[in-house]
Amino acid sequence: MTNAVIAAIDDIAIQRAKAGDINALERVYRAYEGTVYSLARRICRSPEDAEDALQEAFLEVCRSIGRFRGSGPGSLTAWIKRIAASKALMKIRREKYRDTDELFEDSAPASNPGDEGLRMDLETVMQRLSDTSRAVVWLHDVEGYTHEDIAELMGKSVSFSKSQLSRAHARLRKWLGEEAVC
Amino acid sequence: MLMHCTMEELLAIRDGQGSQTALRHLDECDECCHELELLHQRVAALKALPSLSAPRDRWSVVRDEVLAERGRSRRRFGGWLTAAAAASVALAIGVGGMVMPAAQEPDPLAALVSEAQGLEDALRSLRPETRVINGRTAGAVAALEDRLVLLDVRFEEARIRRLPRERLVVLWQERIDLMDALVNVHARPVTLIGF
Repeated sequence: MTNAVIAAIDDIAIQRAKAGDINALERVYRAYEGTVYSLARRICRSPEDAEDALQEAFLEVCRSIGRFRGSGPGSLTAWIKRIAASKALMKIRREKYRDTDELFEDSAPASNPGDEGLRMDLETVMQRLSDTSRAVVWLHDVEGYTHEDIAELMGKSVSFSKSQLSRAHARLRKWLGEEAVC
Repeated sequence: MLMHCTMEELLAIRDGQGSQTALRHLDECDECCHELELLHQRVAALKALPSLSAPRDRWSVVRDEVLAERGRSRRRFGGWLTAAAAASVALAIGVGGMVMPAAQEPDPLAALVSEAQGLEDALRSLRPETRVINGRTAGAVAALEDRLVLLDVRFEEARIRRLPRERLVVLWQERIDLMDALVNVHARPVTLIGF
């Protein structure tokens, strides 16, 4: 999403959305659907799950925006992202996917320097992580959530979040080899 | 120090929370410095991944569900709200027994109540629940119905606080204006936009 689109959601539009104006709610949806879908897609295993998380997140936004106490687009972004993260995490909990990193760890292609054909790219290895590990990496390293935030969202401990992150990076390092940047 | 930094220690260093032992080791170990650099590169690469677009537009589903929830909510409270309005009429008539204008003079409150009832009958005859309306009309209907809900809350407050007839006249006039607008919206033919 471009900054221009976010900027289009001004305080007046937020106030109208908070009052339940359906057109203002649509503006909020249009401004944030890319952000919400991207976040959900990075956490969920399939595009379908991410779409469901997007829909559930915006239903929650429409139901709860009247209680949103922040001011300005910046705090609205953080509020909507938190709802999106929560819905995506609920989705992966419900789906109970197998932790595939255990499955793939030994079969992951070795990353010999110079062997570009076998080297996995970042998106592929992220998908090979377990849902929980992938979510922790994304929320902490990309979205900037603290381990305390993540622990609260997941209903787990701070040390759980830290160990998931460290484990995930150890695997990413192994799978990506020397060339982490793809 | 011979032991290299673990991934947990490297992450702690990156986050500014590394132990003194780990930091000292990093100063002396090229291998761990390289690992830290790779960690930074991995995270930078993650942040540089492109944003993704939802394959389908889900707004219509969200909007329909929101409007349906509002409708269900209104139907749940509908009985109570009608009772509130009826109670305010009873209050008006009851209080009016003491301050009622002379019998031969027209009672403005009774006239307004009668007019509002006529509009409710008109709305019922249009059977709005069976009509297909476009998104814009649905939004207008929802906005008017929301205002009617809020107005009914004020009717209830008026009943509890035993407000004078003049205030009730104002409330009933507002109700008539909103009902009139609602009837007009529903009576208008649906415009289908072709592509």
